[in-house]
Amino acid sequence: MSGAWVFYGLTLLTFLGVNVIACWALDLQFGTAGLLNFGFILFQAAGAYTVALLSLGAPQAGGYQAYFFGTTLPWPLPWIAAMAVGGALAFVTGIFVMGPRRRDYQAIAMLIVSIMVYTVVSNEPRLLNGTSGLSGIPQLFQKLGLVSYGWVYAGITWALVALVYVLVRRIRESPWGRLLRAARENRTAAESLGFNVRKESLIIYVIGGMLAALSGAVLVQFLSAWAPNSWQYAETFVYLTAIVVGGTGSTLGVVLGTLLIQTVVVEGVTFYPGFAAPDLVASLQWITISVLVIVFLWWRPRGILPERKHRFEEGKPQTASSAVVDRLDK
Amino acid sequence: MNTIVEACGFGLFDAAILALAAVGFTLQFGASNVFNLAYVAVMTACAFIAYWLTATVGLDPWLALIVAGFAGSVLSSAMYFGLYGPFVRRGAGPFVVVMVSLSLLLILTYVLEILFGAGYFSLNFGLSGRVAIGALVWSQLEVVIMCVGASCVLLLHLFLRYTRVGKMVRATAGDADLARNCGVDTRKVMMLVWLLSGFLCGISGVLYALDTTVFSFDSSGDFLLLVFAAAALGGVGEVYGALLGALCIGLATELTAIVLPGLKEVAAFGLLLVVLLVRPGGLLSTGRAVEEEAQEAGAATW
Repeated sequence: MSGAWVFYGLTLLTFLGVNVIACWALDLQFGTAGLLNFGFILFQAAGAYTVALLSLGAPQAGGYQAYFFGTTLPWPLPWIAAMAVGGALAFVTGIFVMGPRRRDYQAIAMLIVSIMVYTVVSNEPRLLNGTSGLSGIPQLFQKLGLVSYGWVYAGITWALVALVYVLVRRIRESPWGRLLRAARENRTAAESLGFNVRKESLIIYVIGGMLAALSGAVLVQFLSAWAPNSWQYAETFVYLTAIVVGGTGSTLGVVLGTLLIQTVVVEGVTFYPGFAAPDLVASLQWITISVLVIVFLWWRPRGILPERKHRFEEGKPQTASSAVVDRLDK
Repeated sequence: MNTIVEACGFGLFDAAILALAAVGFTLQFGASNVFNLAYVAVMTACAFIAYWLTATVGLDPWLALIVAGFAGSVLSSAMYFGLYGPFVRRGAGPFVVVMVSLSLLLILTYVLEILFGAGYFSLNFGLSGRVAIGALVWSQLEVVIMCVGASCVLLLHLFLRYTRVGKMVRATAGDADLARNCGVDTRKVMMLVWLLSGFLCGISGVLYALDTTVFSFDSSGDFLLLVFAAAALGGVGEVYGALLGALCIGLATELTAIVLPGLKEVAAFGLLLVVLLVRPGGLLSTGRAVEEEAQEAGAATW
């Protein structure tokens, strides 16, 4: 296998790892905390920009890119800082958006926040270099060849994936996770048990924000550049498709969904013979993803690998979403 | 002072176009409880249809405007009866519906890209020259757009206020269940609502394209939130509220543009955020009734 194909494969592997972490983050926010976050991509972008600002060094007057603050911190600090920024952003937005209100209004509110920030960042070049974005983020290890760097980076990414997997499983399978799922189904009942739904959901939402920012950090350090083009509002939709197709609330389902959407749909369309124009490929990707979402929401809203039924001692199986999904299934 | 008056002029103009779009959107949302994100994509699609009719087929621009309106009706009704309706009848909650609508928005947008390419287009109605009224100076095109917008609003008002069907539409848009209990055939009214709001959507899309001089397949994003902001400010399903909302948004964005030129939409977004989170029933509501509705809605995940 030539070096180029190996590198391509490693790139895909790294992207997959990044997307899996991001989808778990979104699934925590959506499946466990119950907030449909249409502005999700903003959290990933926040993490990416944080890493960029903390790796590029102080902005130079008359330099080719302008940003409001910069320094150089040694590795893993930018990534940890990115998680802190993601968490803070989630906290601030969560405080305002969560609460007893229409779920679609919450979703749209988050969409608006992400579009607002996108507009401000794009139009104000002094903040984060506007539409050109930031580039020239240094690689993690300077002395490796391209393919070796690819292996190392993929390794680091998947080591993180394993850590995040453990974290997400521990949260889901814990008594706290069960309470959160209960609150998702019937807020009043959970509250009557003394569970502070708003506070606990906010904690999960913040954890989701931190993980989303982490995915951005890993991604940007690999890509070395980040611009508003990478975080338009529709990007959230790709992640949403992955979790809807794979299975909301199911850790492995999300992995399957990400794998399917990223490799089969996004990459697969580029290989389709007969389409020369690159614009056409991008359009087809979006159309395919959107159609997939509608198809899955109609025929299999639980996803391919649905949330596992939990059996309790009394013997009666309880799914977290049985009441409503039964209405959606014929 | 002159800048402020000028800004108010621009604001009124923006409001005229936005009013049509907002009324259409709020009718749809109020009557069927569907947050139709794809509404703005239909607007863009109708602009493209008008472009195709005038540039390629050579149709008279005013005729093209009407045809584009009808195209909007057809597209919107197809979306409701083909997609949203079945989902809603199955018991899909607002989550699922809004995701379906986001999918439709993306499908329409990218189909437009495939059909027309990624370039910029412009609608030409053959109007030029300026008109001055007091301190406000508008171009002929702007005056024409405002007249079209205003006359549509007037016709709509007459229809909704003074005809029996119009009252049924208003009733269904305000509270569909209550209307049904009063003997209104909501299914037929629903069809009429989507046809009517689709028509308004089409007309407003063409007017927007005329206003912004150039448009592309991606233009939906530009007015996505302006339309929602105007409709939300007025309260879901409230037609006159939507008109008021459009006026507020129009003035707010233009007055903000004096202070922050590149960021005038941010004012609209901020207003919309506030409304969604604090006063979901619209600026003039109390907010309490909608909270109860949200409590019930909160019980269903999807």
